[in-house]
Amino acid sequence: MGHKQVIILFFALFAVLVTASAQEADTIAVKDYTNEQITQMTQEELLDLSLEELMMLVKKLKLSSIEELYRMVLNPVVKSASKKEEQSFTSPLSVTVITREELQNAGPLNIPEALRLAPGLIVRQKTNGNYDVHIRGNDNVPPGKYLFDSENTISLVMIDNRPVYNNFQGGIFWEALPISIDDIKKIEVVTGPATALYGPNAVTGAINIITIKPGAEELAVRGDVQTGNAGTRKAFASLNTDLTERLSARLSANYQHRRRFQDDYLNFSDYEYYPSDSLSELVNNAAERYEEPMLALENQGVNVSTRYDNDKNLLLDFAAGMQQSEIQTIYLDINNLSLTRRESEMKYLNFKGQWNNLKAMVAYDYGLQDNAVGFYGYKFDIGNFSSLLEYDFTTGIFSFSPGISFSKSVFNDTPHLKDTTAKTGLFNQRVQLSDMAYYVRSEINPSDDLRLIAALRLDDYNLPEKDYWSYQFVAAYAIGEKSHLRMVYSRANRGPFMYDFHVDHRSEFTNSDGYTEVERFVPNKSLELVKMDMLEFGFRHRLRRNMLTDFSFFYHKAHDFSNNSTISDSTSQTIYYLTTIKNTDLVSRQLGATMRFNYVMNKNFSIKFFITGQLTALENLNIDYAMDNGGDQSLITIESDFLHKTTPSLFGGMIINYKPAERWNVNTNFYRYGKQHFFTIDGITDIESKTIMNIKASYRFYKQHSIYFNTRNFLDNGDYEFPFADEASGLYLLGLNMNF
Amino acid sequence: MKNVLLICSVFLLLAVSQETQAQYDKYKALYIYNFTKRIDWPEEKKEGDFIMGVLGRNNIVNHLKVFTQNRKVLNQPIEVRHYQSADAIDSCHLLFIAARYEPKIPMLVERFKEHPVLIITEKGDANGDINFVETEKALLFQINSESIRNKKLKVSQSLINLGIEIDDGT
Repeated sequence: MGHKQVIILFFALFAVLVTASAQEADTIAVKDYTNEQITQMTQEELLDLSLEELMMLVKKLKLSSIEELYRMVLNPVVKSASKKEEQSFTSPLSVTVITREELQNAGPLNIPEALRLAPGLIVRQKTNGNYDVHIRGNDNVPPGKYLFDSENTISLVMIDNRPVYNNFQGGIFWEALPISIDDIKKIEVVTGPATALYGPNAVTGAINIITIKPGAEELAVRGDVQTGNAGTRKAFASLNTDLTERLSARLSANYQHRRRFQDDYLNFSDYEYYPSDSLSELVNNAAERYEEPMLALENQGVNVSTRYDNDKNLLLDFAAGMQQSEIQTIYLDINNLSLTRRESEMKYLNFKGQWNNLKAMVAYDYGLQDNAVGFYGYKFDIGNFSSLLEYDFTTGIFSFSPGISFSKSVFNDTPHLKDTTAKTGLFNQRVQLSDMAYYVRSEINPSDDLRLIAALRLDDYNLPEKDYWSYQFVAAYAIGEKSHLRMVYSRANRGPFMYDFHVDHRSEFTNSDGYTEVERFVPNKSLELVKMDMLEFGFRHRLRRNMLTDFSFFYHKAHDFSNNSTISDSTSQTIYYLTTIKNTDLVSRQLGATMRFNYVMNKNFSIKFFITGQLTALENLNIDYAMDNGGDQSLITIESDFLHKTTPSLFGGMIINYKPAERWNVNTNFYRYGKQHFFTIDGITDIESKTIMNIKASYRFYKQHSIYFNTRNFLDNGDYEFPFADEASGLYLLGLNMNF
Repeated sequence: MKNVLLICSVFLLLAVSQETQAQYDKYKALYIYNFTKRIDWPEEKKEGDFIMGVLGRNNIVNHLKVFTQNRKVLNQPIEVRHYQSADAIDSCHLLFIAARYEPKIPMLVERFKEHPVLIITEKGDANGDINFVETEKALLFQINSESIRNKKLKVSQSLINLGIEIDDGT
């Protein structure tokens, strides 16, 4: 059975269950225990209360709801900063939580767009629904390379602690995540190096997407549909049930479709846009490469999860799912045209268990991905395995958490190649990367106010054959109940990827002068991995009970970047090029600060504001760039220090949530970034500063069911957000959300 | 596109201008039911059904109907009547006036000044016999014991103590 049939079957099942459960489900499950006690009181119990008791009960309900609101908005529980639950106000790292309620109110359509709600993130749309996401910056370093190299390969994204970055080159295939935004309980964003906690790639930070678990976290049946312009259709449904007293299960399905805002394509040869019906004149194999020219994104996923909780010391979570996606975006700019098509069909299994203080995780995802449809050699069978085992010791003021992890990624392109001996594919064989890691996190609390933390991790990769140490040292001090200081020093490294360590490729063609050109790309198995050191000072202060500020001042130093290095030789009739990836002497130094301000005026009005300012300087950038500038070859030489302007110097956002009446919610959120300068092999271009305004207004018409208008980029500002990408225009959507 | 923007704008305006709905209607209905336990109506009103009248606010009507089903005030079965206009109000024991009918309050207070009809409003200082006052932290009520007594209703001291006593200056 194909993915589409599974999705259709699921939605049919959903419709039947909605009808059935609508008649019996009348009570609403809520998380807070005190509120739960009150709201679950029967009619008879309420009528038996005296007026005095009733007044006290309402007071308790109101107070707990206000306190809960303050806590939820200003000081949510976070787990990613210390690997254990703590209040975000006293978290030792720079961390942001985007809660489920914020996601529902603000209305982002997918996960990367939701990251515009957190400080420190740069989120640019490439084509409708496809985004480039970076944490704090260091994007497009070194400059002057392909846009493919500007993908974010130095941030770790996890779903329930399972790493989901792509091992081909390290970037995130956001559209290929099996879950949708409606499956998310919260997103925790740790800014700054966190490899010592989570492993390779958490160089500029880690994004942990925590899903809704079966059981009390969700109502029995949920459904959400949205539709609007640019072919936007989004659907989600979930079923959640207790199978036994201790075993719960959840099933969810999602679908999203987006069309491009334009039907023409940019041609790098002359920087002109060409209509889709003329592509066969520009590129080979156009019919396959651009099969559906207007499609920007289409993805679907089904997820099933179960939870066993014995209410004492054993918690077992099992999740499985599958996804299918197709997008057109800027990824592999190896073509005359800026966009390429990417397809993915993956499945996953994830098991997590906790028995007393022992935690274990085993995850496996596998399937087929074609990174550039219609281009020979970019289609792979993939299998990624990851596992870990951790234990928490806590005695008095001291806690100690050792762990081991093993991960392995396998890529195989041979089933999709005509011939492997000629090395015309990328790998031409089954290739693998593995990592055995040992780590420990220890914390000592000399007093109630002071936390001293040290985390250390050793990664033993099969490639490069070298051990990598990463570490993190933190001192966090609470000044009374109103202020909190933190100082962090940490080192992190990127992981090894297939593209760097296994590409072994040969191509041969006859040029216009009649010479044979032979190009060989060979791996460099001793390539050093990118490393980053960070020093950060942070200060949180509660101005009032309902008003919070958070400042982070950071200094990053990153090195061991790499670049292609080509040497050439020739005979009378043949020119030989030998290319490999080599480390450069480039050092990136970044100085910046983030300010966050949260204010909850009352239960009807809250505001969040955040801004990041930064400067990045690149040193030792002694590289010549041969640029194909509109058909003319030109050489650009940068010999000395360079102020890197691909990362905007200022970026941030604001979220205003207003409930004008009991049944209404209006959320207006803004995201803004400053001007950027992109220097790539495809050309030099500026991205102008842009403010994106989104509004979602919802009306709860009956019980927990609501209808809503959701507008993304309300002012329809079509300015490009990414070099050589599509214009990014407004979306205007109508939606229906149902909960039983 | 302009049409879409126009629709969005109208939608937002509607959102802002929508009448503020009380969030604690269920508890207001329970309060009202509890008030009847601490107020004694004159003998001539102790026959037939006990009529709880509501001017506006469907939600309150629904809650009251649910809570008073098979319940009595002393020996009188309770009937909840929903009035759509001030003119439709007939004989009742108590009258709850929803916030949107605030302009009608002076007229109704005057009309029932000497009748044993307990007037309950949703707005503080609204000159009802009892006025709900909803704050962020509690659901309180003002009580005008003088005006209640003038209607030949007997109000218990415990109810007066629980409320915020107001003096109508009469």
